[in-house]
Amino acid sequence: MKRDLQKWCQQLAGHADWIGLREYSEKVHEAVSRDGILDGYGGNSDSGIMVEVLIDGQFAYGATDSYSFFEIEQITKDTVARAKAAAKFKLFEADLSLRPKVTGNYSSLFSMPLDLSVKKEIVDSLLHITNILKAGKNIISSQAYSTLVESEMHFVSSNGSDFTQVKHMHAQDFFAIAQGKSTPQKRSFNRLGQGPVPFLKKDIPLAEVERVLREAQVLADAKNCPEQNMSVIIAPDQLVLQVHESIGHPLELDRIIGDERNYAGWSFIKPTDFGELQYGSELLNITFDPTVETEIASYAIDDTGVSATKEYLIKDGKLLRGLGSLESQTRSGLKGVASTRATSWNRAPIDRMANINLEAGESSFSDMVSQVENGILMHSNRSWSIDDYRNKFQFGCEYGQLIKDGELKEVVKNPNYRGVTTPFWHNLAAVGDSDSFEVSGSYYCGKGEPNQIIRVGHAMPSCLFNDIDVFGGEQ
Amino acid sequence: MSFTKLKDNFKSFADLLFKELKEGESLTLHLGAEKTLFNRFSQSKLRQTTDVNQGDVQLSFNDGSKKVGHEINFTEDLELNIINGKKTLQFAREELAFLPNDPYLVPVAMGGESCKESLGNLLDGEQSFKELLTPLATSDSVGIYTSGKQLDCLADSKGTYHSFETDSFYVDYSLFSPTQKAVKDSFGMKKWDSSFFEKRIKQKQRELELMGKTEKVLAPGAYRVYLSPRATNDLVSMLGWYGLSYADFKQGQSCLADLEDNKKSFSEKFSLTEDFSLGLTPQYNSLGEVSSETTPLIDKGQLSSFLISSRSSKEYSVDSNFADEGESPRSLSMNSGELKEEDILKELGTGIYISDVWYLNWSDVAGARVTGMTRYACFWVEDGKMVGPIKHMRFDESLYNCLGDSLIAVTKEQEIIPSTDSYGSRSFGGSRFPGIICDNFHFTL
Repeated sequence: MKRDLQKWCQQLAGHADWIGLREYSEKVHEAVSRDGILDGYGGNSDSGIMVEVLIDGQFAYGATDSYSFFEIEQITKDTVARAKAAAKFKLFEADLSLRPKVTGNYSSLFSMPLDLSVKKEIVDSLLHITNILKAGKNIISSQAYSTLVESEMHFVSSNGSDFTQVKHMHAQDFFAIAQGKSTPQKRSFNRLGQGPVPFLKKDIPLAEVERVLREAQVLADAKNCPEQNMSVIIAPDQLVLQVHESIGHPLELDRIIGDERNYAGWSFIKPTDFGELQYGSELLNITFDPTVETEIASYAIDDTGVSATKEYLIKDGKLLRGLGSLESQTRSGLKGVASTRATSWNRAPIDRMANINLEAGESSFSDMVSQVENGILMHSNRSWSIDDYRNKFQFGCEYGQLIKDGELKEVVKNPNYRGVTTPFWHNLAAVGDSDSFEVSGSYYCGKGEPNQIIRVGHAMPSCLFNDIDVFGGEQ
Repeated sequence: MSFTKLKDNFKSFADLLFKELKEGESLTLHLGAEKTLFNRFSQSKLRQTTDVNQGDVQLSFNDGSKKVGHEINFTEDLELNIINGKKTLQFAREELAFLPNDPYLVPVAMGGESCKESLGNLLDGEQSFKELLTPLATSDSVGIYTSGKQLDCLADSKGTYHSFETDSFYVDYSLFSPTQKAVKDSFGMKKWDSSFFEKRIKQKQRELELMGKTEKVLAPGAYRVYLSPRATNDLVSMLGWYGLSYADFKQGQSCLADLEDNKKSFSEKFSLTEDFSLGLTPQYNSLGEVSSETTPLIDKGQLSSFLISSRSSKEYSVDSNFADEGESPRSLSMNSGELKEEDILKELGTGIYISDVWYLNWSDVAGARVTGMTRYACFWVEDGKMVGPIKHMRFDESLYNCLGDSLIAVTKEQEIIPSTDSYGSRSFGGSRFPGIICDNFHFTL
């Protein structure tokens, strides 16, 4: 059932200085296989509407999953009353310039209906993957997971906005856990984005399944990662989290102006740092890029109706621009991007990441390895932690491979590293070329009060860092 | 949004859908609904106010050998709910046709009946701004006030019916000094009490004054620490993630494997219980099974029981303690000890008083090693006296150390820590924890 948003918006327009209606619906299909059985199957279908009003210079929000105009009208009246009362305690004076008119539509380049034949194919693929993995020597557990999402956002407003945005997304992964002479070790593979779905019967990445199996088995009997200061080549499946935590989050403007201090935290970035701070080495180029069609957070407008374009956040290592709404930009006087996002119809939009990418450089992977006298290659995030100012971090990976005198050597388990954000990025010594560039991201980026999970895209190559504190596990 | 109407609708909806079932089919319906006001504030001014009215129902359908789960919206419109419910049921039947049999399927069984209602006296939206922000006006505060009604109902085709309804609010906030030092507070109740809130603010303002002293910069190394109940809750609750789940243990992903194998142990001073007597969350799980009021998990340092779901019970041939399917704790309580609140600093002697920790994650699951940061009001203490705030530090410590031989004392007083999670919907519950003193707590950066 669809709601006639335009008609409703016209009927409600007289209640406030401005009204926006944002309908969001989402259909999700999930399946998980473990050790050759189907361990879970289902989905959800959720839709609702967020009423946003502006009156007396104050925004307020009311959300409902009702399809009744009577209910929407009641919500609108209540929200207007709350906005009026809240205006006496307002943090800033809002006006119509924060909600520009926008019209048009956007749809993922690739789409696939969630029909029964596709769902059956997904289930068969997941079972096939875990049947291969569980049959491996020393494998004590295996799992394959798939989620497919169809979402539609329709935004209308009393100043003439009317925009529809349809997205088809996937997140799929599998892993194997091997038990050797010591503690169990996990090796995994994942893909997420808006492109073609990877785990369909005809497209199962069998070479990756076999690699994960082999590497889990090797890890199970591998030595512990040594504790040393050394060079590290970080593969894209770990570097995405490094960029996410130590560049993406600290550049969110609502952190920088202190609105997120109670939960998500502050940022070490000060407003005066934009245009001045050398964030990392000159090899570091970070973009906000909503135009990469296969990334999960590509879109045309954000959830306040602002048109999204590619922008450099950091260029040649220098900090240029933050991530944030017109509200945050107005309050801080800083430049932002169209990244004001809400996780669903039941949450107000806040400053978020979308696609945050590290642009490819010129070094081949073998060039980077050959530069390392004493170091390690690390793959696949398994642990992450950073302080509330986004300075002191620690990451753990699944798979390490030592590098000696320019050559890859033995595999080690429990590789971890720690550091501080800007010194770490200043130690960036080489950026991989397009051959090692991978599209990935984070399916579960949490932030905000009330809490919001948002899907974030990241794309980047492998990179080489010098002078990094590396260490292993307990045993 | 009328919750009486929602409950009536749910019963009618369930009766009608159960009549649609064919021989051999079973259905469990699980409703969650809320009307919640979220007021966010920053600089002691209102930043965002959102009122959320939502409901959803999970349909778990099986034919005796396979299972499908679907979640759909559930509103006051009974006719629309029924249309969507019937459509979803038919859709689930079509999906079952191509699914393989599930060898560990838990059959739907009569799980009894229960009804708990805990009503309160909450502020409406307009009152809340004044009551909340006026006493904070002299401070730089930031945080959230969350208030409203939550409903959870479960019914199945074998006759199970449970409901749990509660009114509650919580305030989760921080006060900041001009030099951006901060103290944190969080509390939940059923009835707004202005004088209680004002007293807490004054207490936190006094703590903030202490943060104005010269900052102590510590070198990485091992220190004696006091962890407040909130910090202890965060640290020990890591056992709910790759720890207490029996399935995780069997699948090689539990930090308690060495405890189970008697290779390692915790201190006799450490006991942990799943304790529904706190009354903060439903005692039934998503299958309608009712857990014991208390389930000992760690008893005087030894493993008493993992959290075991009926699915794990079937797969691994062990008795279920009716944990939910994910085998996560729902209402943790840690034992109290002998240390009186007024003796904490004296017992700590020289070390770090840690009010809060932040962003915990496993650095090594098998070794139960956790990394994280100190946050908010953390002080250097010398000879039992507060010296000044510390520059925040990263720690990397095994739970087998800090809850093992290095656990020196557990406080007599425990605190209820309200759950403030609201991903998707507002969560129920909370936990009860004391503070602890540990030796040789390792800081790395």
